[in-house]
Amino acid sequence: MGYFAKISGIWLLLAIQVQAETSGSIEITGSYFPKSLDASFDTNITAEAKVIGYEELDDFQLEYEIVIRKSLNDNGKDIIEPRQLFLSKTFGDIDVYLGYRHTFWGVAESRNLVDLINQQDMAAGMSPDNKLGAPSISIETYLGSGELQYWYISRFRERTFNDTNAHPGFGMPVSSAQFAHAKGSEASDQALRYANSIGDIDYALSIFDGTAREPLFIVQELDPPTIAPYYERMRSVGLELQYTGESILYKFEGLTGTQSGKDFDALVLGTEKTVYTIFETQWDMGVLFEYKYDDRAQVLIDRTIVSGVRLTANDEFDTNFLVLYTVDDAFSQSLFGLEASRRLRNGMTLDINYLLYQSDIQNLPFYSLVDDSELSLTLGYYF
Amino acid sequence: MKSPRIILIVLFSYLFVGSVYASEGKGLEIATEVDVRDKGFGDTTSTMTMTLFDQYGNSTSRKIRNRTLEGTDEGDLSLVIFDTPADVKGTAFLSHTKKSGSDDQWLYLPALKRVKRIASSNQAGPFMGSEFAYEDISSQELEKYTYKYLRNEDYQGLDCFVVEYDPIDRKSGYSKQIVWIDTKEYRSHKIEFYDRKESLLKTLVYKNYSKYNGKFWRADIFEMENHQTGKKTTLEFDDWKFQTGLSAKDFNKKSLKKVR
Repeated sequence: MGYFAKISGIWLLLAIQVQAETSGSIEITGSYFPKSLDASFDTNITAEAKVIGYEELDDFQLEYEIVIRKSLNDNGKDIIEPRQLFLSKTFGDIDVYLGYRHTFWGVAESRNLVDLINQQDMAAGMSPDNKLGAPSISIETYLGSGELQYWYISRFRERTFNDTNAHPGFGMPVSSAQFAHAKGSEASDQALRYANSIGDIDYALSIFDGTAREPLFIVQELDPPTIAPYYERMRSVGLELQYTGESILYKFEGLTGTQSGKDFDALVLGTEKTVYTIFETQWDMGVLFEYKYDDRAQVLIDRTIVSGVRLTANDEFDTNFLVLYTVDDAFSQSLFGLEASRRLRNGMTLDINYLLYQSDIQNLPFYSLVDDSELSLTLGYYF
Repeated sequence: MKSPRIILIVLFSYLFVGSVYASEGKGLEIATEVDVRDKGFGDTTSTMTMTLFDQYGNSTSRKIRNRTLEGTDEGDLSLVIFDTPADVKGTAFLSHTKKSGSDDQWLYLPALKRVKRIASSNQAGPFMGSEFAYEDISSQELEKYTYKYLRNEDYQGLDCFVVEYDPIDRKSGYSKQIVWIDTKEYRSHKIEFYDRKESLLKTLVYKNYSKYNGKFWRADIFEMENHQTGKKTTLEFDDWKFQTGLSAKDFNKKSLKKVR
């Protein structure tokens, strides 16, 4: 039975026993690419449905979050994804989970180096909620006042990519992935994380041993040429720190280890200061700043600086704006991002996103992304 | 002539200081009694409908579940879970109240599966776009105010103490709160909130008190009116339960991720 058929079967099974604990959303996104090249399309429409549910079975709890996405011009975005589909059971202080699961590790805003459990659903975008479920057995328990997690991920989920002519696209077909591990996508991963806090400091220490989530790319000189993702094996130690002051946060994420025998280091240093009720209004303004260093071969830019402003209206519509400006340390390439969101009425939301890549230097990564600059509008209906 | 004048001044100042001291003492006594009478509630759960009215009378509602655990050494622990609007369903807010200094607060974002520790000096800011500030809904610890007894006054047929609560924390959005507390059961019936410029900002009225477990009074309706904007927020509580068996483990970061 094919993957899609299998998932559709599970989906059907779930749909049959829909009960009170089901919720979800339907989102329609219209995108416009103002700098699109001729080889690509300059508009696109994508629809995404999400069904989230929870059920108490006799001996277990069943939890699911199924994502179905269909795009008009970009087949790379099309997916039926069990972002979560697991059974869980609690034995005293120990929780055991079996199935597809989504979790989050990290403290930073622009990039979470230590967030290694789930693969990015890259075709859907860089946003941290676009993740692929990890097929896994995971165990969570208390260790003193802290929390201990162990993950065994039975097989690798490959990153999703946009179509050849999509935004961003490679301009050539993506061929089958290659792996450093002989077992390829059947190789398993293991991870362990301990998290706790002392007063105003939250910390977490983690270990990962598995297939790297981000691939390198190998151009294969075929006719026509294709591009193949190549996934290394990675062993790493991660550290997360956050100091929470009265209106300021200091954040650190560090990741160090080896990738197929080669050492690497990566870190994010960040701060966020919030000013409440600015100009005697109900608005809050957050100013954030993050510095990222990553010397892994598959990372596009070694050093980046992200600065941003977050505006929160604190109104009944949850209106908020986030502006992020990312530059490399030579100030020769940049990404300007604007996110605005607002509830229109109960159950309906409007999101506006704008991404603008800029660079004048031809061999820099953001130069090749200039035509992927995007203005998009998302209407969401939640139930 | 000098000495009688000095004596008079000294006498006057003694009288003045003495009376302030007495009213502070009585104010604190009343606030302490309010606190003592609610001691031992253990834990509570309730559901709440929050309705926001704008100045034109248009309204929008949201459903929220509350869980509170009475603090022993420190303040109370509380968990707030949002059921509607549907786009924030599953979002949860955990707060560990401190008797002095800032509370510890965490937010759970279900789409990201992320628990986020948040800075907590936003106590004067609005809660969920409502007329309630974070400091209005967080647990009222005795140590957060100084108190001044003002007078006794009839409020809707009940003899009430009228007490001024002055917030100690300079980040509070208020210069003072005037609280009407009935002399029989020590329940708050009305609070007037004055902004930092000493102008009347909001009035909160508590309605429909019921007694639970033979001892603990809870109001079913909170009505907060903002006099400066004309907006109003009501909280309607339902299904109050006491001593449900919650423990500190239901109020930590790990439990926040498992919230139902």
